[in-house]
Amino acid sequence: MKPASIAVITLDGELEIGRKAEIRDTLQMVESATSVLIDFSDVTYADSTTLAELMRFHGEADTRNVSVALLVGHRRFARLLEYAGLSQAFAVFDSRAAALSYLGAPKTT
Amino acid sequence: MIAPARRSLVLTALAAAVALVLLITSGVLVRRYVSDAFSAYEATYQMKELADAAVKLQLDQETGIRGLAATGDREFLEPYAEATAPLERSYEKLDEALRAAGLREALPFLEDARKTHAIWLDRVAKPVLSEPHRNALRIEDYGKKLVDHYRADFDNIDSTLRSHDRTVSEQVRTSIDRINVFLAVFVTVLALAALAYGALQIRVAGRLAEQERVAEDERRQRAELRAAYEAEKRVADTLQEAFTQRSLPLLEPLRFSASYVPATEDTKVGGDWYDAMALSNNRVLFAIGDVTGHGIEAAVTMNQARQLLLAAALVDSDPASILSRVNAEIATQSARLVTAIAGIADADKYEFTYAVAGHPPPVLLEPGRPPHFLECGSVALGALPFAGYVTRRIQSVPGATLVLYTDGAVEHSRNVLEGEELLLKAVVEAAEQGEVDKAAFIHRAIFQGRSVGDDVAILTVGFAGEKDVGLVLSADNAQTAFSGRIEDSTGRPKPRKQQGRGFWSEAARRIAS
Repeated sequence: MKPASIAVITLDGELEIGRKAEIRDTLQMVESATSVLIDFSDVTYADSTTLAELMRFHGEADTRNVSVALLVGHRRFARLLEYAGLSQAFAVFDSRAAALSYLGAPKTT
Repeated sequence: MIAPARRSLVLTALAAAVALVLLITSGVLVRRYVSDAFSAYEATYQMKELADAAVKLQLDQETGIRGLAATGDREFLEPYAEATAPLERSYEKLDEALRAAGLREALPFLEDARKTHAIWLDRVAKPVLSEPHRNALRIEDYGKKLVDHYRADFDNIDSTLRSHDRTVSEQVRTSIDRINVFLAVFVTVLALAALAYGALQIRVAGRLAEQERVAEDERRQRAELRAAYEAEKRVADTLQEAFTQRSLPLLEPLRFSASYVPATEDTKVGGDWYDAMALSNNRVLFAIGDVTGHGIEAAVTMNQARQLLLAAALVDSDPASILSRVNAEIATQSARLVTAIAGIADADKYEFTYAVAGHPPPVLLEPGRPPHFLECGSVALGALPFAGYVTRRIQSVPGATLVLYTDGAVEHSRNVLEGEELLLKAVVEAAEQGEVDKAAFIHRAIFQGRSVGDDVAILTVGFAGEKDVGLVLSADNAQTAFSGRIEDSTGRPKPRKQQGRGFWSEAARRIAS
């Protein structure tokens, strides 16, 4: 049986250069987890600097073999992920259940 | 800093008011006590005088009686006659005064003295008056006792008055002492409060001075930073000018236009760039890119990426290969990420090939079709050393335009979907107006003179339409071809609108809906 230890982090609002340190610290906290769900449900915008942070996180997660699922709530943020090539790099979901199921969480009834 | 000053003023005024009120009150109290005491003394003095008068007047009466008894001459009786009425009046007055002063303990003595006097009048004076010689002895044996008793009564009244004097003095002294103690305590408290307040003010002043010093430091640091910023901006601007001053390739039937507008906030120097360079007599390389971040480092990385891209294109003109080469270099040489599009426009085949690295997708506008965003994808240059990029091919037609831009063109409102819609509208409008300098037109249509927080670069690559005429170039001023001077073969200025409005209006309506 697969252990269902999933680290969940939530970022919200507009992600921009002023929040770079906050975003980097938050992402670093879960770098050593086996599965990570990043909840972007309330994120509407991210500038290129914070998308670059996400890119770096992708590289780090790839090296450590961490499964990552992104939960996205707004189309405009999803579009920015497409621009950055991140929707191909990460598994992106618009439903929490689907994201958790991708990460191997036992189904809650 | 106004509030504490006002508060200290208010506190000082309040303390002064309280002190004044207390001083006035205590002054009034002292005055009242002293004045009461004076009245009491005065009353006591009057009572003493009345008592003395009573004793003296009785003595006058006795003297008169003795004179009569000794001589039998009624003339000697004068002191007696004169004293009678005043004596009665002094009894009345003394009685009244004692009652007014509340000295009831003296009243029995006065009563007793009056009774004794009445007995003396009846048993001594009266017999002598009627038969002076027969009754002369009464004055000595019986009268002397009565008179002694009478004087003893007045001695008692006198000692009561003396004791009253002492009590009044004592009361006044106690009251004034109390007021003094109260004033002393109050003044001490006020002085301590003033001292504490002063100490506090000194501390506050110290803190204010400290704050002022810190603020001054900050101002100086800001000025230094500002100067450093400006120096950096000059360098970055110079680097950026290197590409904006380059002329675009002239190769029929290709049409280029480009626009670069720096951020209105002059502290930001972006890393946006575009390029177009003829690789052969029918193939032109076009590129657009954006380095993450701002400032001189971004400008340097931008220049590096731009030169790398041109160099890579000279080695292998496949867009994906170009990006892969640039990526390998950027990944090892720079900490920054670069988003870019590299493409080739083939003038003979009416064909675009392009590859995207984390950059917003190009817009393609072809006659008879609404404009649309092409596919984007793949990560930014420098993110992953071995990232793969994909070359996409578009078989195009005369009159087609490919619009490339940097993120500032669509992310100005923070809502990229809105931004994209605005961009598509602007692209359609530019075509509809028959604009030659499409890039500048699109920028104007999007921002309409509003201030821009980010650099925006726009590059359009197109093929001349079937109705378009060739560009007439004067050798000495090739640049004008890109700023909108068009003439037809007859040499007459050509009307701006080259396309029928119908189709473009339709396309604009469809986008807006």
